Amino acid sequence: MNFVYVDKILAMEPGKNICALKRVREDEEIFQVHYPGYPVIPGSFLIEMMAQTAGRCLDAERRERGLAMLARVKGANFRSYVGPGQEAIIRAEISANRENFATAISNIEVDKDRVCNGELFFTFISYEKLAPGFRDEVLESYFIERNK
Amino acid sequence: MTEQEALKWIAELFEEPVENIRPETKQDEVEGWDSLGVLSLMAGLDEEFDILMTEEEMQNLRTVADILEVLKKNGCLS
Repeated sequence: MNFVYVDKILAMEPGKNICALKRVREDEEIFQVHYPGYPVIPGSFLIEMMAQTAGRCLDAERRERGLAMLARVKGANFRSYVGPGQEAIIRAEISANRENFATAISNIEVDKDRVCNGELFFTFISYEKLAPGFRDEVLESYFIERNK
Repeated sequence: MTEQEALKWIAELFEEPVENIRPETKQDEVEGWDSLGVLSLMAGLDEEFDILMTEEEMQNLRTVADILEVLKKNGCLS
């Protein structure tokens, strides 16, 4: 299952803020079960979208502290459904950025309407724990595009 | 901030009923005051009160009274 829920980083100041895009495809695997005949992205996946986006904003700093991992979610709200064919714009502002934790305020918009928001709390895991050769293709694509 | 307000803030941070949070309450009596809770407390002190603590300083906090003392020392408790 493809669990990368960010297609592209549109803009970013590493460690400070980020804006990313996720195009929701008609054939997302999750729609087979959530729900047949009424496909909507689960709220937990919307949180994951925000976490993957904010996490990449932190990872882009490439600090020695390691990879950002979602540890806590505060005050998440879901205002409307997100379904096939829609484009989600995911934004995050890093509100605290320390050596052992970080927090982010994040939201998702579809057609300029806010569909979800929440406050995310991150801790970090050592890069040594990851498989050798681990690569984040979304981040790499952003840096390649930016350096053109 | 009064001591009562501080106790409420600590209770919310650790997601614990406020009646379970008293100055004499110890860390191991608060379920949410685990390793993640320590980081959450560190973040809360930073974001809410501009109090920057090191990990070593955080390890010295063993009771709710210790947290109250940090708030008091930094002029956040009346």
